[in-house]
Amino acid sequence: MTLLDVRDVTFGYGRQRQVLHGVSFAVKKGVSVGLVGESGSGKTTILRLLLGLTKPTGGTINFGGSVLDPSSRGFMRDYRRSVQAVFQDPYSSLDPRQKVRDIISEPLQSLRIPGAHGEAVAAALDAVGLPADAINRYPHEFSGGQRQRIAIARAIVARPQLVLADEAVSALDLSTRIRIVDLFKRLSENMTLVFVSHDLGVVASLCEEIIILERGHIVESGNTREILDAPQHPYTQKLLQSVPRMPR
Amino acid sequence: MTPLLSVDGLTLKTGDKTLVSDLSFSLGAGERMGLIGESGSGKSLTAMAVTGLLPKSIVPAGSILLDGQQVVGTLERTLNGLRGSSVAVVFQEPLTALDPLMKIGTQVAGPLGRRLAREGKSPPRREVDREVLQFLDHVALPQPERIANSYPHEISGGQRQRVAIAMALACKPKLLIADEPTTALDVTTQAEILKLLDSLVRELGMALLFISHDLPVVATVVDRVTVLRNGRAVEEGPVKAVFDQPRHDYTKTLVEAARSFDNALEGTA
Repeated sequence: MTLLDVRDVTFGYGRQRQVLHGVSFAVKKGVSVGLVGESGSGKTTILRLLLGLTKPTGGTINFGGSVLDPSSRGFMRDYRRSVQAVFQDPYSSLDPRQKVRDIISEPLQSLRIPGAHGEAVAAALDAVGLPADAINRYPHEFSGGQRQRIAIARAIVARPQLVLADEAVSALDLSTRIRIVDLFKRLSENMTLVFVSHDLGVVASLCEEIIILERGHIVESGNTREILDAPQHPYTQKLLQSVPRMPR
Repeated sequence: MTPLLSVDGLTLKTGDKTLVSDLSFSLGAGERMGLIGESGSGKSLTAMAVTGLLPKSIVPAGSILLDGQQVVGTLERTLNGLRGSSVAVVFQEPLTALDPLMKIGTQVAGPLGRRLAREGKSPPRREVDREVLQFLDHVALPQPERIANSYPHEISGGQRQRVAIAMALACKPKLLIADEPTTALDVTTQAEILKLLDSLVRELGMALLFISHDLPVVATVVDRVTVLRNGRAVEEGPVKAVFDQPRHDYTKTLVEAARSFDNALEGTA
């Protein structure tokens, strides 16, 4: 089942600076997708469009059969319940003045989701591997990896269908990164993940499908394993060759 | 033979907090070593200590012998003589390492002029400009004249890092310290810069102290590594030995993590 359908989407700042050139792809329910590209490839612009933070200058984005319309408050309320985000920097994405309990329950309150919020927060904390007593603490009391777990707990607390992650492990140290990748892998069994990253190794670990972007164009997309084993486009080949490897 | 750099029992403290503790390593002329560590391991502070550029709030103890000169507790004037001739640094973020108000050509001419003066030469401006273009060409920058005439914001991140390398090379130092020089760059640009650094260091016979958190990146340019954790060296040895058979649990964790991403790429996970 197609969850998200992006059709011929263009985006630009005036006629002079075109950032996306007719981008089309689909995200199927339960199939995690990695969006890979270097700076200026348009990956963050796609993510902003998918979050409804900005409107495409051309083309459409459909979610669950309806057109994503950032100006429709009714649509966006349902959409925010279904789609949540995790950002790159856990030091700037958490409100330093809120306790962890308030940070994680924020989506439940702002989306006016009924039910016992305390239980939902406790379940989200447990799912990301943080102790239950974390709710009474502030973000500065946690390490970078733990903060990213808090951000992930906030993203999953409303049980969204889709989680959009923007370079969500790039700012973390290697030993922490591997643990957060494992966490994403476990969580993606119950939800769909769109993972934006410049890191092919991370995407290869996490995503069944991959989309390679270069300067606002999709140059190659499909099954991650097949593309990494036999990249067809010269840019994908160059990208893959450029990744430094451990000595054998 | 006396090593070019000899760090012995280096301890860095700020107030009651110890940031680097009893660190010792040495580097001979032309040798290449990597300092590996995650955030807070003290790897960049160690580099700053070697160049005598520590913030005043951080107090060093122990000994750093660079090119026969003690760095710890030495007067700024003496250290200034070492910078450029004995050691030069390439920093992580080329945008902040370059002066935004000065054209690239003038920036490269600065350290170049200092080196020429040190060698007792005072060539005319035109000759200095020509040598600047040679250095820009040496780091594989296209159209050196255009780059020399540009401001930092007018060129790409990879080109800016090449300029920073050209400035360090213009000093002809005996030791080049590269502090995460490719972390801010895209992966294809990173590959080009690593190749460039590797070939230039070999060609000019400089020693290299390469600082990074990225194990595969370190492995491409150095022969030996020291692994730092919370300001302490936990393991050191040749790259192959440390990465193939890590002894310390922390090194094992890092190596396993790096290999797992490699395996995912190769489909052997």
